Amino acid sequence: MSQLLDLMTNKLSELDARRKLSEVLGSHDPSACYACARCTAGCEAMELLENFPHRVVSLARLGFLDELVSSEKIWACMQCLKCTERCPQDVAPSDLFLALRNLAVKAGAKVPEGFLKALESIMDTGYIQPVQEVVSRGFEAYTRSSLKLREHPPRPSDGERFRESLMSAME
Amino acid sequence: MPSLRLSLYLGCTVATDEYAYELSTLSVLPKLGVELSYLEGASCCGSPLQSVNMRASTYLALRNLALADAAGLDLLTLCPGCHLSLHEAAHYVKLSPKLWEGLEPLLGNEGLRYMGEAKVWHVVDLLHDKVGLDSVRSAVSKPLRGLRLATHVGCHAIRPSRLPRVDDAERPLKLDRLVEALGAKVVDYPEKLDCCGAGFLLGNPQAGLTVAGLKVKALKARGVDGVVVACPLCHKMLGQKQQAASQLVGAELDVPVVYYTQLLGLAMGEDERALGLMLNLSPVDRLLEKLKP
Repeated sequence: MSQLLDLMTNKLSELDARRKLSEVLGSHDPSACYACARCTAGCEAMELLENFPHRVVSLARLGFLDELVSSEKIWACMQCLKCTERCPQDVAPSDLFLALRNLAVKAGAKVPEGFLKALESIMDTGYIQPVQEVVSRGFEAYTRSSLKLREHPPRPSDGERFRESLMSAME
Repeated sequence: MPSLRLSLYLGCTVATDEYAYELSTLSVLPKLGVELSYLEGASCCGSPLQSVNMRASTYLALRNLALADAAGLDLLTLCPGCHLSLHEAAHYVKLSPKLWEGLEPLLGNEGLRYMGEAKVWHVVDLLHDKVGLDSVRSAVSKPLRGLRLATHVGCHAIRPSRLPRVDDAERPLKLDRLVEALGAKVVDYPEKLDCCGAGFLLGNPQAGLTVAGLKVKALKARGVDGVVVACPLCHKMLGQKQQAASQLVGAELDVPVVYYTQLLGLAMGEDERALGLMLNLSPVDRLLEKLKP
């Protein structure tokens, strides 16, 4: 396949897109898609945010990774996994969304802040957020200890080594 | 009743926020012969990091599985998201020797070894498949007669079916059977397989709340007495954030949302506070009122 130009966005396709994606995607291959749009038909994000999974798959199939990693489309998915469950070609659109997000992070593209905050907190505490104080229906405040749960939930025994390993896993 | 011993794996949401699930699980499961001990050293399952770095996410899942192997017991998850993430990681390292070779020394750095021996359960399949409906039925002392309830199983409990999941992808009935075992009636509804919107919490919270609001609105239209969930994120979206969601969908939402473990506790005559029912922000008083003799 030769390089293509998207006339809407002026972005070029990449020739080794398939290899790049397969590194994150494993056995799923967007090139198996025949655009039946069954993924889009059941997509709740489509109803709400007008995201069309089969179009994202098509762009990936044609190699427009650069266009996709800087697009809001790849974040307009809540990973309900209906598309992946129902795809007759085992393309796994929801996994493709994740792979494209991974590439966006690597490329330094704009990533919703929540994900990066979650990463930071996991590095610090092992969990996506610190242990919270909660408020009941009757507006009383409760902590884990006041609920007679043990004060600290389990956490990595050696925080330093945990961070080291997690950091290395990201490379 | 033969005793079952499992490591209890909390995951982020239960450990830091959704305490009612932990409270109710710890109060009811031992009475059904399930002995639980916390999985020490545990961390996030990796699910929220799938969007950032698949490899790091897989590492997190594997380290928890390795801890479970070391504890020598099967593992119980309360969150379907954790249940899926742990199964995915086991699948990915089997699929890719390269991934495994890269991650194995990182586990070693934490003094861990993954052997793939611990089986991963979720509350719903543990109670349905292992403990059994008969045992659940015989634990009931106050049947929930007269209640019409809907179930919301949670996306990650049932999809994708190419991996071992808690229940069938398109026709999940285990949670329904478990609710019926308590004497309540289960109401089917067209939106049953729809998402709670939690997957949008990190990237687009407003969209997530809208998804949650639309689901609760549909449930309200069915006139159910309450919704039963078995996922901390589904509970957060459909129950705890119901008021915020109502503003986004232009409807007054007032549907009680409870964890299955809380409902089971009520049917077993457990104390409401021990089940953490004061922490549910949805109007569960109405549901509790209906249970009064």
